[in-house]
Amino acid sequence: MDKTVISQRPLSADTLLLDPGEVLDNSNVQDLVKILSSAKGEGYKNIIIDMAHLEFISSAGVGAIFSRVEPVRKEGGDLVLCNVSGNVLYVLGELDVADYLTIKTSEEEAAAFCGVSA
Amino acid sequence: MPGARLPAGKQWMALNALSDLNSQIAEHPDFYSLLNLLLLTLCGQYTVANAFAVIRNPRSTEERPILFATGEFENCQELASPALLAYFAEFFDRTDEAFWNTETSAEGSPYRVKQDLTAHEVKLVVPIRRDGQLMGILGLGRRPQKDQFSEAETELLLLFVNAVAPFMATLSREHFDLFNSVHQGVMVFDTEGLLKRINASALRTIAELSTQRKVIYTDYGNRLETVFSDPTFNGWAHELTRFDSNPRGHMVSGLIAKSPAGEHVYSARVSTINLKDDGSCDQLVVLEDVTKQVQHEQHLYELQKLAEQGIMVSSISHELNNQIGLIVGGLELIESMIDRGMIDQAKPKIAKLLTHLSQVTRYTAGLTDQSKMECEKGSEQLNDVVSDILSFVKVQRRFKHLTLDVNLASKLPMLEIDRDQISQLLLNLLYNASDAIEEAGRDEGHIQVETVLEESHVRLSVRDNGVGIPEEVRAKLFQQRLTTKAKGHGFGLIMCSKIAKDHKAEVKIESESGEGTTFEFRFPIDAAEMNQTETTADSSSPCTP
Repeated sequence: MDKTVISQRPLSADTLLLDPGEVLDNSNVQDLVKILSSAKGEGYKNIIIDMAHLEFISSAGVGAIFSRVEPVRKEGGDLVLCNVSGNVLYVLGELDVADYLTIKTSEEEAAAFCGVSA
Repeated sequence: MPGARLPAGKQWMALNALSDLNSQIAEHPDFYSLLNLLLLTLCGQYTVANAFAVIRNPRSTEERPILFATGEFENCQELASPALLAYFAEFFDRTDEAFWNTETSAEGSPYRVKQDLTAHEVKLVVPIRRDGQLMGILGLGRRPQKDQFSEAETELLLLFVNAVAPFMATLSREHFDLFNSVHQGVMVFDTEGLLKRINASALRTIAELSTQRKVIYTDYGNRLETVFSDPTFNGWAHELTRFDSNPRGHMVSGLIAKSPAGEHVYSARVSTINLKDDGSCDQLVVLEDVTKQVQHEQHLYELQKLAEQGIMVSSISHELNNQIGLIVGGLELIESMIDRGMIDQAKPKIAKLLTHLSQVTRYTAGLTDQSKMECEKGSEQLNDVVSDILSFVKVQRRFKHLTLDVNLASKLPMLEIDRDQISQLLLNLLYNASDAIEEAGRDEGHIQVETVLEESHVRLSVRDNGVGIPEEVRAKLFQQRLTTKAKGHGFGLIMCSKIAKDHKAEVKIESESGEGTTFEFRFPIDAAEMNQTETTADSSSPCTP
């Protein structure tokens, strides 16, 4: 698997699950922006980003996520992170965004938060 | 480093982000990508929801700058409005530090943020400079968690901007050059149909064509209908907007611009770009002047018409030559008979000559009426047609040194054929055969003409021991005007092909280079016709196309 390929899987009609792979930096962050932009047009209210495989996130990666949070919340949904590793949590903490983002420990918990039944 | 007062982790992230941007520049030096990544990086580094950059055109201060935006700024129509872009342009004209530094915004920014921008929640702007020249403005939006930008953060922001500015300057020049160097006119209209970007070619085109108008509407913010207003661009706006666009786009052809200098024809590709959150898109219009192409096509069409007329003249000459050849042959035969005192035998030949002359008359009369050039089938005995032609042909000089072997089937059913056309077909085949033998330089030339009754066909074949037809030429026979003869015109076989088609005859060609060629035509026999051959000999019916 290409470590920079972002995969997506609908969990329900209004919730989309994204897996950014192992790295979220300049190499793939513009792809993430495009996916997040088109998700709304496709009717997804909630976005879950499963970071189980994510080993590194750059400032641009954080920026791509951070800049989408408010628009998603304004529409009554949320952008939820799950399975966040220690490395990524450290970056989010250093940039003072950890408290602002909705972070869940597992995909199931994130899905439940978004109202997706198991 | 100025950001020493920032936490070590944040400094590390900033250095890492700078390194990332440098790698991006080295590996994929693209102006759009660089700007987008810079803005995304700043959103992450400064935890701002939105960021924008306005970049001036490096070639001309008069041309409008470009706005890059991310987050909610991307959808902020007001931010991209002509008024605000003009406002940014005002910044560009102010190079004095005082302008930038004296007015401090409420959030503590060392740089001036005008009220217009604060209304859009722009919290901090910094100049992007290169070699003392202002090349753009970078702005950061609201911070959801805290509004203040510390001095250390502002200094770090300048560090970012200064590190990227040299590359940005080079890439922006390339970008503008690329945008303005394409010969097509490129325009971008926003979701509201307002002009957002226009390249030099489009500006030039519209200006040149709009000489009748006092005002040229190519300022940003003009509606598409205004840019392409009547009477110069009559109907353009309707044509350009009447289909739903998609990223692949669609072509609009035949757009006619009427200017005092004359009519110009354009084609346009209309597609969508910059997909927004709400599914709306900008519209990209790429205009191309195809006037010359259309003129060339018209010229080509006229040339083709001339060529067709030329082909027709050649075709007529060919047909008349054949008929004259027959008549000359007949006259030679009659002359020979008269010399030998065979007056009674000569009389029927004269009658046949008169028949051929009437065919010529029919043909020339038919030239003025296309419909009469079509075949007229009647119930005919193929052997009679073949014998008739051979009797004229064999006395001609070109056949005198050749051996003509004739094997005609003893009993053939009547066929529904056009006698004149079959005569013409056989004549062409015989002339081609004699030419092929002459070309081969044979001492003993042989032509064999044969009719054979097969199960459901009557086969007519002409075999020669001439030069033969190479395989690659054989494949093209009947498909196009083709001749391998030095003096040939290539119409004979086209005509043969048409005659075969008119008679639904199968055609087979066997040839070996240097050995000779056999042409075979298989005419279908109608079972009912076979039974009625004797009684329907005089009937005639038009040829089915």
